[in-house]
Amino acid sequence: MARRLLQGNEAVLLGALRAGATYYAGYPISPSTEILMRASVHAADHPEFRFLQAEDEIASANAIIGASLAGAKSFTATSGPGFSLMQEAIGYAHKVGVPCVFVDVQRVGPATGMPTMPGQGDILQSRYGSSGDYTSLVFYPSSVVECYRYAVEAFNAAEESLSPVVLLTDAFIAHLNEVVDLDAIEVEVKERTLPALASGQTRLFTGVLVYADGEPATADADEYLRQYEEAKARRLTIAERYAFHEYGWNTEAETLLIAYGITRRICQPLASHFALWRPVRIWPVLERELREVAARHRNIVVVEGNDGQYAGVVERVLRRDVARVPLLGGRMSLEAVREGLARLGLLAPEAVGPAGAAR
Amino acid sequence: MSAARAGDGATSIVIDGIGGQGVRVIGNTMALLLDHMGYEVTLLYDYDSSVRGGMSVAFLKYGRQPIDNPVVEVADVTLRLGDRGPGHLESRYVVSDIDLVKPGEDAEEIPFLELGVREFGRDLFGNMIALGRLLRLAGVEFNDEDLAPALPRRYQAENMAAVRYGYALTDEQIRHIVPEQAAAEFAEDYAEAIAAGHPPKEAIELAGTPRDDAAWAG
Repeated sequence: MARRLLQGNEAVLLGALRAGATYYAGYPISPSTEILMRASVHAADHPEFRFLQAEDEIASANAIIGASLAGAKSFTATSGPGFSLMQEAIGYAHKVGVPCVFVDVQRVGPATGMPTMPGQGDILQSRYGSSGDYTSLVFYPSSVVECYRYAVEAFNAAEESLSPVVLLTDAFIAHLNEVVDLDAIEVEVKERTLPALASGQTRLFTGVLVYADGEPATADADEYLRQYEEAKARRLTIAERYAFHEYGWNTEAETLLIAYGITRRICQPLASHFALWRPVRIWPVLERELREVAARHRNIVVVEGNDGQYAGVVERVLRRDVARVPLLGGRMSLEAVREGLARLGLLAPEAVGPAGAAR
Repeated sequence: MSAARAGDGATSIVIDGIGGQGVRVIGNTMALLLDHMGYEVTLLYDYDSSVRGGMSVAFLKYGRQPIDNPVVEVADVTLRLGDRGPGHLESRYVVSDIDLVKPGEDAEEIPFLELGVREFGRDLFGNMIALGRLLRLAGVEFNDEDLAPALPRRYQAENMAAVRYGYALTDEQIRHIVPEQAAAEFAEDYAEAIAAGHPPKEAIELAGTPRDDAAWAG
């Protein structure tokens, strides 16, 4: 395959196929719908790839869990409101240990909100959306190439951790077209780890806490802790292999910008003024890496398309004040970033021109 | 006029319109052409959820180096078919359909839709004429072998001719075309009809119909 103009949503699908996905279930919702559309077209030409347009997001989420248990690498794609509907199923997949991938193309919420406008408001939902305690693995690419690469990694991490993995994007990354050469991207694909249903092994799938023999353990705190700690340790250990992040720009600068997804791209013209730290693995938080980088800078500013969701996390990890530049209502622009930084006294309004060139 | 380069070395183009006007066709065609020519390209659509009548904007950047920020804040050239784009957008030069130029802008007006009908028999060819003019203003020198695979397959020959027509327009020709009041009214009526939810084919018929005609009531 040569260079080609490719959209972020298409790259997610191609990454999933590269990872060996053979099952997609979904319900259309902007700005994720192109993934469903392309999956349906692919299924028409490739009978080994199964496609289901379900009646809603709840059915879609449960369908990919069923497909995974039956032996398929499976995935779905949605946006904020659909992601909310999928949370119960995500919790079930964590409890049972089902490898599968949930793609959440974020828009401005809550609820229907601004359906085509870019947002980053599902950072906390991707970690805490379901009930109870569990350990989420979440990746967030910043380019079309990365949509492909981290879709593959999401499937790999799901297989290794035996858990659902979330791939976050946003309306701008999803609808961005860039020239890419996917053949030039080297990726390793992790093979399926779980035996499929009907492969001769007796396996029990229930959201209820049970012992190994299938008897209920619904009042046994010790058994709960044993299973919880085992799952947590496994997922944290696996997460260490996926510690994707970026640190750069002007690393001598006093101020460190933290940005991810489309906001990292938008901030790029400020590269000579600030240092940048970008987490690709949003969850579990890259605490060690974040602390090391933050120690080198006097000011920390999180630029994100929500009202401080990741900034609060950074503040907790660093135990120091973190400034916020929230980009709300779909207003993802360098002008909005500059205004926010000027308001914080970290950038003179006249210092940087609209296109980022020094005036 | 040849577009100046932005601070990051890329050329920035904005196509500003409303849903149904062909912003995506123009943006896709130009991006594919530039890709064929070996440029690095980013193309990003920003649009309202209203399918017709809502904001529809394409941000296109291209250059010889990878492009970081795909969101255009200062356009080297803006093609304005409607006026719903982001308020913070600045444009070094604007090529606009009739009556959309703002005070103080360095701009030109061309009745693209009317030219599409007049020269090629259909309004939709106005989009390709606009693309041709945009390519000329951006200083993109292309050949037919690059353009052909980028064009929609339907009406490819006509589209090619329309792009070439727009590319070849001279300032003198534009000055001759523009001052016609009828063209201004045509563009205004067309935009109103699109905003009211009429598909382009109906809108072009309505735009040529007196306002007191019963067709407008529908």
